[in-house]
Amino acid sequence: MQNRRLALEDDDATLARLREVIAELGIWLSLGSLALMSGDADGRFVNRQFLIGADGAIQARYDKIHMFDVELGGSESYRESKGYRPGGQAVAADTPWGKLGLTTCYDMRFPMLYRSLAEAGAAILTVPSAFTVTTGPAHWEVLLRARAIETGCFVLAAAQWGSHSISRGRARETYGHSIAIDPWGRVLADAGAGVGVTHVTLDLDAVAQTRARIPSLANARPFAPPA
Amino acid sequence: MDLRAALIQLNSSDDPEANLGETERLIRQAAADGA
Repeated sequence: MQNRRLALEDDDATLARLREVIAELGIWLSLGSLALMSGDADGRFVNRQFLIGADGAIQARYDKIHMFDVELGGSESYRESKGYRPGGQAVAADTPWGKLGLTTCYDMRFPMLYRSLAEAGAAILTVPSAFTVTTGPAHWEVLLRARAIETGCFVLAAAQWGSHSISRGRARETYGHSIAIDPWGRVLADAGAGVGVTHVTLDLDAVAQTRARIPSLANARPFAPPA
Repeated sequence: MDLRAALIQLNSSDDPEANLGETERLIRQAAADGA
């Protein structure tokens, strides 16, 4: 399979341009995510999130691990693994504000990934997403709040919203509601519907304070699976 | 320590040039507003 509009990472115009913009502005960016050619012989792509530092350098890259292979009912089904090669490596990166764990969309349904990132020292978790309007109202906020509570991390989940016109295949409707959640599980900001920017201030001392109140990371115990 | 962050919500299409233009516009807006 080939898609002439997708490129390898080194040739991707969007990534190159946004790195220039970030270097000019001197801010950090979690860019999630880009569909890129993997370079594999089978032609599959990768769903790759980038963490770009204030100098425009790529500080971390993460290939989405969990593929969205689901049947939502009716005619709505997805087979992400048909076109995409799943990642196999959890990624946490240092930033001036602490360690940041990178995850993407459907990953949020797999709490062991978030536990792993928190145990590696992550204080902030990014979850760029394109949740559907079928799953969004039922699952989006509750899953992300759970990931924040059980890890004692801030969760930042930027989202796609609205109807997505595509020239091939079925049009998609996404839920929006980009959200920021604190380690106690409180929603700090919810973008609702529409395109735009939502600002939020994170008091990063809340990570240690919350983990001191509910030390579930420290209290975890090994156990044998059911016989 | 505080972190001033911004969430950028997009409506992407299969036109990469249009997506890039909108993303860049909103990143610049976020930075101008203190992100």
